[in-house]
Amino acid sequence: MDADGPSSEVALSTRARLARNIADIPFPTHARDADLKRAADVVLDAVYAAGESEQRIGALRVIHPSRLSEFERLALVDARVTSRRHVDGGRYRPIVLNETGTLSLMVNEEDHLRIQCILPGLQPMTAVQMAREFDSILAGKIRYARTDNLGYLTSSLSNIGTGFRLSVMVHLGGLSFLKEAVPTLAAAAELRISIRGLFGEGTKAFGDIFQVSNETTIGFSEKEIASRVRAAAEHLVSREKEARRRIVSEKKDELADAVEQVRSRINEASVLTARDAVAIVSILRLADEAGLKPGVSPKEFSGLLVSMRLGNSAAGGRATVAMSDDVKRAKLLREKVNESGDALQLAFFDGREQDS
Amino acid sequence: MRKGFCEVCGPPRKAEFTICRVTRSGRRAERSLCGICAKDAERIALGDTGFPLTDLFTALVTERSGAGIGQNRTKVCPSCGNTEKEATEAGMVGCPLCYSVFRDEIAEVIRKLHGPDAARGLA
Repeated sequence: MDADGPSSEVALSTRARLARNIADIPFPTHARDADLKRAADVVLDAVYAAGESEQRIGALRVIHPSRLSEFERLALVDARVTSRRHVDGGRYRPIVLNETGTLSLMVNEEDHLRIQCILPGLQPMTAVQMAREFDSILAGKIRYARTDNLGYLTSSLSNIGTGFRLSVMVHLGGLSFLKEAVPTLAAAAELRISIRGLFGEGTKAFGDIFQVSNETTIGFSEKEIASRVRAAAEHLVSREKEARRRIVSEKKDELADAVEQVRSRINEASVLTARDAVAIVSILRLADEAGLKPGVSPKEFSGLLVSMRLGNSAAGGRATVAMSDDVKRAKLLREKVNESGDALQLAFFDGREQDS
Repeated sequence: MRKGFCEVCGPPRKAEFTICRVTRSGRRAERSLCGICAKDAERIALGDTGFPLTDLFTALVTERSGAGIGQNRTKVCPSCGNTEKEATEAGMVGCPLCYSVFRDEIAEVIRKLHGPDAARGLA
């Protein structure tokens, strides 16, 4: 997935997800192997039928994580196409991907179907539309578990009703630098929106990356939910942009000091934890906005976040950097800051190089 | 029939489960069975497909623990084995039938999770 998209300097990505289950099969969390197989067969039959007749979503490919290497599985998790639990779940848990990797379907994760669309930047309405399109095609071929009162029946009661979750990942480095992130987030949370740090537990976020998503999935239409998440995300994006402008006009020296400290830290450190590394990358991203060197562009930022967090990345389906420990993380950042070597070819895994 | 023992196979097996059937007309019938007979009864209720005929009845398996009959009951979904505890405390359900078996308990959890507006979906 490319990092370019509307407001991509703040909004890293937008994801729309729909949870669906098949009417007469126990949910994956309580299913026997035979149930999982039956569910996978039903879904894949529908996918193959859709692939033959539907031009709207383009060509689809099926990936079986159990047949992939550990590195390939991690790359899919990094790209958020799937989850760790899903790829480690064993047989009958395929993944369906479109050509660009923007549209995907996890089979037999927590629910029989997890349809999701991930787009770069802030694109809530397009993401919702694409996920719903895929859903409506499959709905014509699969009898979903749903009731008139409750809507779609899901494995977790937190997804009941629409089964819809819209989330936007935002980098609030500027607000955090000015120590204004917490009050801004608190205001946004009043819209019944859930905001949590992407890395770390609860509000103890690091790297200043936050995920904005809907708290409720029942009692509102998908459109109402999407509008609310979009409003919260747009609010945060505009506050962050304003904070960055203020830093450039009023606090550029402070930022330059922070960048210098980060630079020294990288050059001296032989090891770096994921927490420290992501915090450093966050400062370098702000530096780029302010025109300071060394900086990290929005596109590099997306790749680096993946690498710093999980220590893995893939470019063109091959490993360019495989960091499994703190030492390699420090080395990679040093290379980046000193602009040496070609090691920093980081990109999101696009799914096209994988063989099903 | 000796009180406290399985109604089907009798002593020495103690009655550990109460199988409760509710028909569509609302009639309720309970039997106290040992674990083995309860499992058999459940299988009969579920039929060969392993999935219950929800249009005809809802079968509830109630586990009995403690000394007194009817005390500390826990509902168990006869289709997937999910317990009332898992549905209410973890908010997880195992199959579509759970939504009928734990209907009232689930409605309460949904209200807590999704707030007052969830009522529109629970109407």
